[in-house]
Order: sequence, then C-alpha cells, then structure tokens
Amino acid sequence: MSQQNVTQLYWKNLPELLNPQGEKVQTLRGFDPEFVDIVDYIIRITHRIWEQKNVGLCIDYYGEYCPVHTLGGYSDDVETVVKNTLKTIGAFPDRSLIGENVIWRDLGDKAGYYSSHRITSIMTNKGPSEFGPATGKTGRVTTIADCICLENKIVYEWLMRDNSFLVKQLGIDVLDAAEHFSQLPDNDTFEQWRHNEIVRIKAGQPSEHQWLTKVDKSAVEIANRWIEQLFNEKCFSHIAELYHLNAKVQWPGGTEASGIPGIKGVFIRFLAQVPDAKATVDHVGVVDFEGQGCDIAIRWSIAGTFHSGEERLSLYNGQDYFVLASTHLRIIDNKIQEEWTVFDEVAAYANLMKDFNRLNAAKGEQSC
Amino acid sequence: MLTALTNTFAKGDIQALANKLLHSTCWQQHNVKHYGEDQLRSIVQNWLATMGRSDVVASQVIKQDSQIAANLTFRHTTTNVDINYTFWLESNGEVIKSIVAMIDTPALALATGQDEATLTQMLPDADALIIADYDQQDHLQGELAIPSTISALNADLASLLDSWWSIWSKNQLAAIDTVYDANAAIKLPGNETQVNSSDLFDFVLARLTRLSRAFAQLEQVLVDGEQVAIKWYLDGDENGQRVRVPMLTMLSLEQGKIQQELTTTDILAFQKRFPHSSMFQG
Repeated sequence: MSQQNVTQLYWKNLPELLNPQGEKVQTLRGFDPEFVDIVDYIIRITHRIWEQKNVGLCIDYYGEYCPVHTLGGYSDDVETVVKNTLKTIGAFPDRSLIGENVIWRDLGDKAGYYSSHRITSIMTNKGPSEFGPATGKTGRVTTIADCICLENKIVYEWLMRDNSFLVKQLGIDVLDAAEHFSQLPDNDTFEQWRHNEIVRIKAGQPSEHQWLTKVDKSAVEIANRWIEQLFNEKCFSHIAELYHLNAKVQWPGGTEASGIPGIKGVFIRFLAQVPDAKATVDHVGVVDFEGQGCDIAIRWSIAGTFHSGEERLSLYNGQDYFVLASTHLRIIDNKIQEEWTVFDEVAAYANLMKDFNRLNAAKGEQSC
Repeated sequence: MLTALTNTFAKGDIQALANKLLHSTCWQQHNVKHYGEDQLRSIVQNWLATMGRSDVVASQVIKQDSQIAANLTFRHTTTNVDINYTFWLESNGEVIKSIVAMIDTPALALATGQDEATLTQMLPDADALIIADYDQQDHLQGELAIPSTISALNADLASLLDSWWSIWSKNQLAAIDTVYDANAAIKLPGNETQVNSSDLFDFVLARLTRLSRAFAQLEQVLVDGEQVAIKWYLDGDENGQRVRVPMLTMLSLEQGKIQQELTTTDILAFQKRFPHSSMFQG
C-alpha cells in the first residue's frame, strides 16, 4: 500500500476530512472499520473529542493504561485524560483544534502506528487554568501531539504545547505563569521520569522507545544532522547547509525568523541559556508532502546546565534545564524550507522553580 | 479569486470568500495570524464596519504556481480617498490555504475620517514576536537570499531584481537610477500620492538611517511576465530595540526598467506593535 494514498491534510477541508471516501489504504489491524488510514483516525477522533465535546470518547480512544508525558506532568490512566480534557475545555470552552499536519510511521502489526499531529488551537480563556484565573482573552497555540496508536486506541503520548506564546496573548507574563504552574502539586512519577531523562540525555543515550520498522534513510540523516551539528556541536554555519536561504522557522513564545542569519539567531538565543546542552533524537517520522518534498517529524530532548543573564531567571543558574520538544520540518529539494518547533517554555521554567524551591527547602531543613 | 475578494470587501459578500477558505486557512493581517471561521469572518466585518461599501478602482494580480499577489485599490464612496489592500495568497485555484494581507492603514484612516491614533487603537493586539538577535553581516559566506538565488530568473531579470534588492539590502541607493525608469510611478507606504525615483531615494535613506544593524530579508519572489511580486521584511535596531517591518512589493517592468512600483506595509499595525518606533514618523 503506497504512502501516497494515505490522507494528506494540506488542501483538504474539514467536511471532506470528516467524511472520507474510498477504500481503506492501510492495514489498521484492530481499528474500527470506519477509518481508512491513520491520518483519518487521528483527525476524526480529535474532532469528536475536542470540537464536538465528546470528552467521554477518550474512554473509547485511549488505552486504559496510557502514559502521557508533557514537560509539566505525567499521567497514565484514561480517567486522568478525561479529567484533563474537561478541565481544559472548562477553561477554554470554545477551543477549536485545527489539524495542520499528521506525520506518521507504521510501527508494524504488533505496535501500531506513530502519529505526530501538529495542531493550531484558537481558544478563549473563560475559566481558571493552570496559568491562573480567567482572563477572558482569546489566544492561539501550536501543539504537537506524538501518539502511539494501537488497535483503535492511543496507548502512549508525548504532548508538546507552546504555552509561552499562549500566555502572552492572555496577558500573562511567562515567568508569572511558570510561578503559578510551579505551585501545583508534585507528581513523583513525573519527577522520576524527568530525572531519568536528564541523566539519559546528558549521557547521549537513545530513548527506550525504539521500533524496528524502517524510516527513510535521508530523513533520519537530516534529523541526526539537525540535532548533532546544531544542538550538540553548536556549529551554526551548518544552518546554511540544512536550510534554504529563505527558509522560515517558528519557535516557542512567538519567535519567528526567515533566512540564514535570523535562523542562526534563533538557535543561538535558545542554546545560550543552556550552553553545555546535549540533545538526542528520540523519534523520526516522515511522509510525502504533496509530491513536492517531504515532512519530517522529530521528537527530541535536550538537557544541560541553565544559564541566564536575566534577573528573575538568573536565580536558577547552574540548575538542570530540560526540554521535551517536537519539530516538524518541511523539506523541499533536500533542504529545510519551513520549520515548526514546539515545546513548553512555561513548564521548563516551572521545573527550574520547583527544583530551586525544593533545594532551598532542603537547605532550610538541614540548617534547622 | 480576485472576484471573490472584490465582492467580499467592496460589497460585503462574506460567503463568496468563506467558500474559498479551508478550516486550516491562516490569514495574517495587522501582525496577527487569524484562524477559524469566527476570526476569519471578523476580518471582513471589521473592514466593512470601518470602510462601509466601497468601489474597487484598480487591481493588479501577479501569479506564479500556487502563489498569487493581488492588490485591490478601494475608493471610499464619500471621501474619494484610495486605499491599497495587498494580498499574498497561496491557492490551488479552488481554495485558499494562506493569506498575508497588508492594508495601507494611514490611507484608511484618512479615507474614513478617523485620526490615526483612533484607528490604531481599534486594530487587534499584535501576536507576540521575538526577534532573536543575530549577526546581520554575511562575512563573505554568501548566505543571504537575493532574488536570483531563491527564484528561477532569466539573466536580465536576475540582474535587474538583484540590483533592485541591493537598494534595500546593501543601501545601494545609486541603483535607483539604473533600475527605475525616469518616469516611474512609485507608491510607497505612508505617502498619499505617487512619487518619483528621487523621492524613493529619500524614502529609503530615511528608513535605513533610523535603523542601526539594518537587515533586509527576502521571503518570496513571484514572476508573472513583466510583473514581479516580492515578499520581504526589514529588521533593525531602533534605540536598542529590534524592530521588524514586513513589506509586499509589486513591480511592473518595461524594457528592462521598473515602470511602476507599489510597496505596501501596515504602518499603523507596526506602530501598535512597536509604539516607541519613529520609523514612519516625519
């Protein structure tokens, strides 16, 4: 079954996507017969849960045990997925999810499919949220949800959301939002996972989540070069080899640049706050883009020692900084033409604050 | 596509445009990316609420593959003031995937009898923008986009457009005399009337001298016969703060020279995003 037959979103309108015509084009073992391919599955279940507000359908479309990793927390039972979805809809009742792209990988019959779904959400903050009281303002946010889908259910998820961009539109200072977030109760499993990830990434070890099915070699090469040359070697002249001269990038918090000098600036600005950073490629997926090139999804992680010259952030200098991120690259003529990088800066800063508070509390106890 | 835009913005036929939009269409205007039915409809409603019904007195379309640059000149029915509304569309001929639109907002204020401060207040708050600082110098690396490196152009056109780009990217003001026809009609942002190449010299110089570490970045070039559209932006430091001015330029060529230029930028939206800037003052 050719990859080209699988649904591509770019020029398709929602009514067409919600009513797919034609035969099933992927095996989809164990999935409901209504779905024609993994992209169709992702788009339609997202629409049903979020836009039609059938939150209870999470029970049908999530595994009873389903680990969900974000940079700000962890859950692994479907009841928590339902609860969190409801809380988000309560805080943002008109949230609409616009599917921008689904980059997928067949993991084999026993493992299902890997899907990296980039979403633009528009939503008005009418109720209290994890960032504070309701602001009444409308915001936009980019999310990338990386999911493993097996037998009609999502059984593992990594969720990356550009919350710093969202809170700015809500009129909330990013560090104030992080302070608020850092006061939320701790989750021991999350803290253990975060600690383990930092140790793993600093050691340059691969993620424990590996699958045997092949990924296009040139896509893997691009992903590895992107991480290795830019994040690990920090040799930014490679940007001119990786990107077109008019390439365009979107990074968290409203960072936008076109062209080689501007893109170099984006990387340098980010890495300057974690100058000894090590990064790992944790997953690569690739799909065709409208016959013109391909779209690559990279889930990646970075860890290192935090360093900032900004007054409020410099308190945390010397602490571990960790980011769980996802990037979608549009490759045309073997170079990057467009890039969307998503991670949660608010949660990354909140983790620094939590660690700082814990450390100080421990010091206080010792001095008593 | 042009008919749908005209009917929508001149006559209020919102459905004509709605039929061309996808659930995922992004409409960037006033430095805000709008998504979703509600926000996209509000763009047209806000225009109609400000402008009322109007007439389209001129239009220009430049098309290459799935990219279309279109300018509609609207004339206010009472004041007879013209306003340029420039669109950069990505379309497959049936639907529109994305739109970047620039309105000559000072002209809109003039046409509708509002002062600029009032109109600026009515514009939406700009999206958060972080311009990461960067080294704007090339250091002999050949890493900067010029028209001939990002678009397939014949030798003559490459030479002409690269020279035109050097005016902004290298402050090569002398190129004005070589690339523009002596009688070229030039419409620049913030100027109510068409100007000549000597005024262009002053305009470019005034913008560039307000900025230190100025850098012009080319985003896209469209060529359609003797017409060229360029999407680009100007970055620079102004009193220590980095600012960005997005621009859309449409050029009409004849006998190897620029006969006509329309450059549009949304000055009031720029002022709203960078309230301390004096880029377009004076």
